[in-house]
Parts: sequence; C-alpha cells; structure tokens
Amino acid sequence: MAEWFPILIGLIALYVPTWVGLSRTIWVAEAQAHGPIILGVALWFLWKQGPVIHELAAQPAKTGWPLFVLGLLLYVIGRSQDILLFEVGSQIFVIISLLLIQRGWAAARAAWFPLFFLLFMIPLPGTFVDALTLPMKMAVSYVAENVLYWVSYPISRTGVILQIGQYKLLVADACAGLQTLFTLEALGLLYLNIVRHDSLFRNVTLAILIIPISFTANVIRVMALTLITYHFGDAAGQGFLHGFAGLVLFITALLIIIGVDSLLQFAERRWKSATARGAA
Amino acid sequence: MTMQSLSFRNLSFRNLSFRNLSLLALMFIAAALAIVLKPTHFEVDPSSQKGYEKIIPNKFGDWITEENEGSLVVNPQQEEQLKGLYSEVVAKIYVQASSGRKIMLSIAYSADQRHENQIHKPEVCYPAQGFELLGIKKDLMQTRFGNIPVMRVQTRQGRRVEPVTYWIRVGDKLARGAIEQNLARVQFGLRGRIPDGLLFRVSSIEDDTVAAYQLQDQFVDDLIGSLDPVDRSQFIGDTVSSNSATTILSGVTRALKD
Repeated sequence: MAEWFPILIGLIALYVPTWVGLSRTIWVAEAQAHGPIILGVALWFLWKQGPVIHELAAQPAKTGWPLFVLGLLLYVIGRSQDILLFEVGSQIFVIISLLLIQRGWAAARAAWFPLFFLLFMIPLPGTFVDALTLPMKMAVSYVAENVLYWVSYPISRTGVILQIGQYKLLVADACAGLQTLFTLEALGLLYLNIVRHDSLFRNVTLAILIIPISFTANVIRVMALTLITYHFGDAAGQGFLHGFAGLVLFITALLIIIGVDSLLQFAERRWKSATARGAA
Repeated sequence: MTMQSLSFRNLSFRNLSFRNLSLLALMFIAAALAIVLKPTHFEVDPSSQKGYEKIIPNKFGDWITEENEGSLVVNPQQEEQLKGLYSEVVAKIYVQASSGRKIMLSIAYSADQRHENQIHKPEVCYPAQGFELLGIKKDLMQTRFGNIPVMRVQTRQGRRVEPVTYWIRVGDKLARGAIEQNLARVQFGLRGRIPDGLLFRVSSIEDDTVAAYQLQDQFVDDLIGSLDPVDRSQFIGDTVSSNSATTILSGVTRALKD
C-alpha cells in the first residue's frame, strides 16, 4: 500500500485547496449546491474500488504520462487564473492518468463510475448554460401556468414571470436550470449504480427518461412555490424557496425515478414471460 | 533463495518509489505554480475614483439628460449587489432634442476584474430581471474613432421591447460575451496582472430594432466624440483608436474636413 501514499499526498496538495475554494464560492449558490455531494459520492466509490485497483497487475499505459502532464497544466492554469472548468475538470485527467501510470487501463475501467460522476461537479460555462436554460425556463413556466389555470387558479404568465392573484413570481434560473437537470441525471445514475440492474434495457431507458423526469420535478417545484405563495403569502413562499424547494425537487424526482423504474421492471417481466410463453 | 527474493523485492520497491516520488514532486510543483502564477498586481489602484459621473457630460450635441422619475426599473436586490461589485455606476437617460427619442446609458466600473468580481454581462442581467432574451449577436459599431466590437442584445419584457448594445473594456482590450471577457482577463492574468473593467451599455425602448440600433450608434458616436482623448480611451480603450488602419484613415479624412 505504501506506493499509494505519495499519490494521495500529492492529490491532497492539489485538490484540498480547490475544494476549500469551491465551498466558499459556488457551492454556496443554489445552482452548484450539489457539488459536495457529488464529490463525496465519487470519493467514496473510489475508496471502495481502492483494494480492487490495488490488486490489479501493473501494466502501465503509455498514455499515462502525457495525460498526467496535461492534467497538471489544466490545473495550474485553471487554479491560478480562476477558470473553474479547467481546475475542477483537471481532477478527472489527473486521477485517470495516475491509475494508468500505476496499473493501466484495467484500473481506469475499474474506476469509471466515480470518474464519470466527477463530471457533474464541473461548473459549465455560463454561455452554454444560459443558452439551454432559457428555453427550459420558458417551458417550465408554460406548463406550470397551464396546469394551474386548468384547475382554475387566477394565473397568467408573461415570459418567465407568473402572476397569481396579487403575487408576481419570477421563475429563476435555479428553478429550471441545466445544473438541476444534471444533478438529477447524476442522482439517477447513482440510483442505477446502487440498484445494479443487469438489464441493459432498464438502464438505458431510465438514463434517457431522467430528462423528462427532471422537467416534471421542476414543474412540480414551481407549482408548489406558486401555490404556497398564493395561499399563505409571500413570506411563506420565500421560506419554502430557501428551505425546502430543493429538497422537494429531489424527493419528487427520486420518487418518480423509482416509480418509473418499477414500471419498467414490470413491463419487462410481462414482455419476457409473454415471449417465453410464445416460444413454448 | 530468500536473499534473492528479498533483494528483488527491494529493487522493485525502490523503482516504484522513484516513480511515485517523481509523481509526488510534479504534483507539488503544480500546486506551487498555481499559487505563484495567481495575478496580484492591479493595473489600476482599486481605491482610486475615476469620477465617471462627471466625465460623461449631461449635454452634448443633440442630446440632453432627462431627470429620471422611476422610469428606470430598478430591482433593489440587484442594486445592493451592484454596489459591492462596482466602484462606480452611472445611469442616465438622454433625449435627442430634435426627435424626442430616448436612450438609456449605463456605465459600470470596477478596478478589480478577477473572476469573482467580473462585470456582469447584460445577456445575464436582463433575463435575471425577468426579461426575455430574443436574440444576441456580435457586431461592429462604426464610429469616427474606428469600429467598436459590440454585442447586440434583443430583450423584451411583456410589451416592452428593449434592444441593448454593449461592450466591456477589460484593461485596454474590448470584449463582448463571456468567452471574450474571460480571454481578455486571462491574457492579463497570465502576466500576473489584474485589469480594470468597464461596462458601456446603451438601450432604448423601441419595437423597431434596426432603428433603435441606428440611434444607439449615433448616440455613442456623439458621446465619445464629445470627450477628450484621455477620457475617451476610458471607454473604448486604446485598441480602437490606435491600432486599426481604418481608424487612422477616418482620422485623416476627418482632419481634412476640419
């Protein structure tokens, strides 16, 4: 195990300052509040895979060293120049390259899930996020308005501003953001990894369905906020927004994911037994 | 037998630790470089005040400021945040005497353009205040001092259609949009320098976007034309007025005309 100590110390020297920096800045904001959870989950999976990786035969890959240098370069530029995309993204390069140097491709494969998971920790460039967030915000406001109007609430909408009774609500980025979508996608993947389906059909279908699921969860969150504001006033609405809205979103999404997954399982079983009977 | 295997193990251990120690050394070097390369030198003293409120005349050419009485929609939370971010903020509404058409001018200045203090771009600010973003594109604004790279942002809130034109001066460079803004910042940053920054934004409430942008171009040309060269470079930097060939040419023709 001694061979891993220098590597662990090096990683700590590189990334503990990064994590401390993140915890003071973007992790505090709602859009990136999932960051520490992603990191924790990824580190836990890496730790769990540790012994497996250690036991692998050392067949160092040639790509390891160039990748290592590239990762460090990204880190140096990213950290010194405040380019979070580079700084946080470099984690993946550095860890993969260390595994390649120490063990080889088999080790990288053994650690694919936590490494892939670390992708969700990278804050995306604002321009990219904004370009995709706006249509999503419009769609969320549109659906929320129509559903509430349909159950005869006095609601109207101008762009992304909802007007219910005397209250005006602005559907903010955080309510429908791309980051939320990614967080939920990460949550879904984590669910899939923990449940460990052997069925490819269920895995792939669920991974794709997470996008509409996240959309639905967002609509539910916005509607909940709108209704709380309408019935209990502005203060209650703001309290909900800062206290529970995120939690509601995650629980709603998780419940829908589990529900959809059970449905898929049920459908798959019926389909399988039907084909089995057909074959017999 | 035992001796041999022992020495073999020692050898392999030594090899491994040499490799691993060099990995460690490289990681330490990277961590140290990241600290050393952090920009620390302010191009402009952050405690200094430029006095943009005074630099920008209330009357020039065909334009005169209007006392604004709540006609600018201000979000109080936004206001508070902006005060922390910018050392100087100027917002004025001008009326073109000959036509009665209005232009809203907004200037925001900060000596510290490190990432977390970077000037906010209108394509982010407007949607954050409930405006729809109808379109955004890069453009060149022709002025008598050369072409200024600008961003044209089309916004709308309900019936209020508000075309916006802006650019950001980062040090002596002009930028529009997040990528250019960050590239400009990093160009200074890699030399250890922290540039100052200024947002120059004009907008008007008008359905006809083409006409609105024409009027805005006219306004900008008149405004920067009324400033002396030192003050002017505070807004359009030095790149426009010194480097471009078209500028020199237009300067010559202008001199001939005068």
